[in-house]
Amino acid sequence: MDHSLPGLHIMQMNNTTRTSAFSSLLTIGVLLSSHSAIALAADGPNEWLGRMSNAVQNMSYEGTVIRTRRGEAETLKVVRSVEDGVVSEKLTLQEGSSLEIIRKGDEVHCILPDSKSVLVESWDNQSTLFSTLPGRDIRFGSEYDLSIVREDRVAGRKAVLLAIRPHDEFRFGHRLWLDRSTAFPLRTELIDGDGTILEQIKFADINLDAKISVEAFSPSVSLENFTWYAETVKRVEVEVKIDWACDDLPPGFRVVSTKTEQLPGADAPVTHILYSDGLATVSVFIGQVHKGKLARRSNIGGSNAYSMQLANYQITVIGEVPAVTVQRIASSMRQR
Amino acid sequence: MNDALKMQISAFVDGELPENESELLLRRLSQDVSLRQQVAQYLAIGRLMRRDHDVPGISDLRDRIAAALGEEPIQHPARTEVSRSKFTRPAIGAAIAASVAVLALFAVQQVYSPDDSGIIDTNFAGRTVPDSQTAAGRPDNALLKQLYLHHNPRLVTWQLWDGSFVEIEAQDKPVESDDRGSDEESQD
Repeated sequence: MDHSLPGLHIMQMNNTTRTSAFSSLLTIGVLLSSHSAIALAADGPNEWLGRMSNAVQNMSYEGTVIRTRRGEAETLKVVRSVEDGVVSEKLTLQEGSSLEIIRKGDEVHCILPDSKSVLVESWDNQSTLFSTLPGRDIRFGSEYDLSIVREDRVAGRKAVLLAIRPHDEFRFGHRLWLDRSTAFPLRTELIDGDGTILEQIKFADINLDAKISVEAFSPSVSLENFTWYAETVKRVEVEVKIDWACDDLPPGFRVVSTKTEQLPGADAPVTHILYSDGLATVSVFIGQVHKGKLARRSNIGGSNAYSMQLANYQITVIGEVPAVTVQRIASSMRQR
Repeated sequence: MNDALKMQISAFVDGELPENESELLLRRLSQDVSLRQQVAQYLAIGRLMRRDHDVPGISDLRDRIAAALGEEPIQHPARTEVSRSKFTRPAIGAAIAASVAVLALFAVQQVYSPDDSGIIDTNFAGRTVPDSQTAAGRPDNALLKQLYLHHNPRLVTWQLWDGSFVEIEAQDKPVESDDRGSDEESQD
């Protein structure tokens, strides 16, 4: 499988022959490119990612985002600010239902104008938009190559393109366009082994480090006569030891956690095993055989799922990995 | 439910209600099913608003009501410390997740199944259509949706079906937007 990405390959250009006038001109271009490469290399790709993490967590901004998944696009207006460590966000869908999501801290209001409803949720650390970053002892696995590809422009700003290429067919690749001055991700792509873009998120316009007034986080519509709803049952997770294991785990994946979780409406809890290869995560859910028909293969954007029965158990594997990966893991789950 | 009763319940949950008043409260609750339901809803919403997910007094109240009714105490799942592996969400993964997450609020989620001639549900998030209204003969993907949500909490989890949400009484509604501090502009 060819995981190469289109674009300028700096090292390859340095090897360009110099035997003709054309080559001489090209050499000048190469030298200029090399100079640019040296400038980019002053920060390695890992440093860029570190800066990106900080930017994503701490920057205030407003802009327009176009999200494309499997050929379907949607546009969102996004406003975000961080004040005294408290994150406020507002996202408004620009088409269709005018869905609006307003968050302050860990309290989230989802406004559904079509049904005149407001849903109130609290997001804990695991479900907030911005989760706590892990410590320095957690390192990127060896299943990917990480490189700076070239400079580019996104939303009118200079950007640096980073590529994350997998070594095998069990994971997806990523391309990240980071703002040259702040490392904020202006555009991201999730790419399968054929080079197909599974998901793309791109700012059409953005105002970074914008001064944002509190009014920007007010609902866009009057909520008079809206019905407010709140969750009655919170997610309960209990860390457990399990007697299940995967006999044929793709290389690089390791167990991150094992829990039992009670799903809303389910009679019995399910066992949830989380695997990670350092970038992609895969969940294995093991529970009672489902009485209704369950799709064997399904996906949402870049997330694939594979569900099957094994004896009296229903095994469902979901992850931001190719279909072959979830199927392989599901098919090799065994009870000890 | 009047304010006095709410204050009484709050005091009980906090362990600050005198014993004689506690007994009266429990007796009243044991005799009034409707009131118990209101209290349960009030407590659930209060917890949600305060993010107090496991207030001991609430469990105690449930047990004592159950005892007053001659029922078995409610079993509470044992909570244990989640031991986190060093190999938890790696830096790059978290960085990308965080960067994408802000943009990942799916207005229309589509669960696509190649085994079932395409899209099996378009009412995944932010919609109010009950699951029972999905096309007949297609896979029952309520469980599948839950599993997707539990795998990736970045997916919007709000759904109105299956009784996951309850209506909030008017006096319990959160302040819409005026509680966001002063009119000063946010910092950079």
